[in-house]
Amino acid sequence: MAAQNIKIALIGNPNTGKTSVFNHLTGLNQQVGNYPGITVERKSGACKLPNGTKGTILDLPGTYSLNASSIDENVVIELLLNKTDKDYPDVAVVVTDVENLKRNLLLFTQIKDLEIPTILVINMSDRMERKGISLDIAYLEQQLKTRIALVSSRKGTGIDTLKGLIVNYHSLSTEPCLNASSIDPEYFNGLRNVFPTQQLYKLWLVITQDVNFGQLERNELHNSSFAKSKPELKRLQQKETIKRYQFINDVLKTGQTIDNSKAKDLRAKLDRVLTHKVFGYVIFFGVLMLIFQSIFSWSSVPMDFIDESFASLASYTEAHMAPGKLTDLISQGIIPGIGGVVIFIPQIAFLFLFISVLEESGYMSRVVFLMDKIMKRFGLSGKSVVPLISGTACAIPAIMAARNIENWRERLITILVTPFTTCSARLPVYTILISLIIPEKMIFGLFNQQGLVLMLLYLLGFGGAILSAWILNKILQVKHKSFFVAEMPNYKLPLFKNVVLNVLEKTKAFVYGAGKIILALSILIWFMGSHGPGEKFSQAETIISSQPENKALPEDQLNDKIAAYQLENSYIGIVGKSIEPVIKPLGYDWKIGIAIVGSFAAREVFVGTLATIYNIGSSGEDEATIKQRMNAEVDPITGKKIFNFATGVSLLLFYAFAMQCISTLAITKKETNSWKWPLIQLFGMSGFAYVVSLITYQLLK
Amino acid sequence: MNIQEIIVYILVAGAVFFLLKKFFFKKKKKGGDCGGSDCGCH
Repeated sequence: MAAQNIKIALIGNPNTGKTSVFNHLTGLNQQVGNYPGITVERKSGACKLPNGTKGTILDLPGTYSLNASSIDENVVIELLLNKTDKDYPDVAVVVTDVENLKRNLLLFTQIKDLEIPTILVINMSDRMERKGISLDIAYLEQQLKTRIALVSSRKGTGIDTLKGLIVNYHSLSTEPCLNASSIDPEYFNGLRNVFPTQQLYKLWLVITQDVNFGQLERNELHNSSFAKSKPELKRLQQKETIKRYQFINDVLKTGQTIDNSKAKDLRAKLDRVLTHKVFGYVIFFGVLMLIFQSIFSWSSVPMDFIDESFASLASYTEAHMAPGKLTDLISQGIIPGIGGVVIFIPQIAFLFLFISVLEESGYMSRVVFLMDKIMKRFGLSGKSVVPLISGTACAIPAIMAARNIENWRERLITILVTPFTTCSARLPVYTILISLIIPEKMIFGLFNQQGLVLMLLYLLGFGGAILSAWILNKILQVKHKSFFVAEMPNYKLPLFKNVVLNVLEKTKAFVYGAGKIILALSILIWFMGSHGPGEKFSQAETIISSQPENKALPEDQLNDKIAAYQLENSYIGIVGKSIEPVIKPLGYDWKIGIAIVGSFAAREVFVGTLATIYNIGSSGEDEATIKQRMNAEVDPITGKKIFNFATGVSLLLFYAFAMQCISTLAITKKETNSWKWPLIQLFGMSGFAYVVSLITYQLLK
Repeated sequence: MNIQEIIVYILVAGAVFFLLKKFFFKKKKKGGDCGGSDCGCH
């Protein structure tokens, strides 16, 4: 007999530790994926249950209730109402937080009304003693008509009990725990009579929400004679919520005891300081400084090691492989190109280490609260904070996170300005340029100057986002502002496993995602740099050697000159030279121009591209690192360093403001369903970047 | 044309094909979310 496979839906309010429960149940072997036709992410994972039973767990987006107000909440409702959905659960597991049971139980009572076998998980049970909370589980089970698993995802307790309850889900009551139809018996009786085969609460949800539950049912309901007006329905919905809370209050009055005298609560004290209108910002800036200082100082040793290793590897390959085009491709194209991405692994890892720790500890929510106050002054929605903060990792999920903004104009502004936030792809460009143009000096013997400049660039990106939002807000004239209501999670010691997994996942995504493009571009750029049309390329050696001023040159200098001449007349040189007039006023030569054009595929390509170009453009006998090559690059006419202060600052500002990510443009198109907005983003941001960089270079040169 | 040159041309053709597929003939994704190994963010 084939083993039974139970479909389990993991549902709950945000911040109840749902994902940690999911990780415990799946043993971290989850398969994460977007489901076709569904706009917001659901995660699924396999779970081994007692008696050889298997389970498929679906981790649904966090939602406060079944009254959908955003797309991600719709995902939950659409699944729970559609019995034909292949993921329709056999059993629902509602995860709640022991400290927020009252609010969390609202969703639970609604799911019970859908008559799905439901288990209640009361998570974070390890905090009960510290908070002075005690629960009468038997009483709660009886009143809520369910079985309860008291779980601590932090300590991993209660998971086996939960698994046991899942296996025996057939024995769970599907009876609702309260009669919600008593808010208007006449109306609900009418509904029951017209649709005798349908579940009453399902009908109610279909009537009150704009969720796609099947066109036929909606039409039937709208055409029915007892249809109510929208304000009437809204009033009924409010009555329903009040009724549910009355029920929950009554149950918790007996089932839960909170003895504040026993609570040893630090949270309130910490919140007062961390969200203080002055100290809150001072502490936040302190944390930012610490992060950027550490990114520079801690990662310099592994970065130098990686840089030198790749330089040695390229040199070793050239010396030990048979001479030929493949050897040249590997030593001058592939190795320097890949080195250009691998070198940044330490910095990316440190950045995500800090972000994970801040998120896990609960501090990030306080930052969101602090930022909300600033955002509102610039006309942004409070709900825009989350996309803007999460944009520091990658603009794509950040733009998707804007889906929870109900007002279309507010959502559009957030989508348009989010790419200004400094994403992790900009970090490699910033760090290499900063290390070239900003001296490694300490300020007040405490702060590394390079780290301060990096922090300034992050703040500049954030400033660019809120300033452009303010301008767009004036143009698009947003009248209605949505409010950001979020619960402050408790402070927790970050879970080591979660932090490590997050850092590994993000670093892997950086290396594999950007790595493939960089590898392909390195091969292409090497090819275009090693081949060229006409005699100027093929006869480069003869042309340079025959020039009188080169006759007295030592061999290595002559070889460098030949290589540079050849590169200039190669295909890539011709392309670069053709765009040079446009970028020259910004202080860039044609080689930087090629790297900038390549960066429109992905910003990280910048360093790898330059590494490849500079490798081809030298005689290739030395073991110079990427940084050394960039530092040694000089203008053939003026003899000055290419990466001087003026060019460096101009480049930093260009990368801070330009829209250089095809994937972000694609997601903007998808989210706005129009090419108009990504094109505005592309030309608006890049045009602004051009003007700022031009002014900066002309002033500083 | 020696073997090294043949391999180089194959690699170049592969790189061009990969880039065209990635940026111009992108398939609709069936799996993988952002933060995954190939989330399409880069």
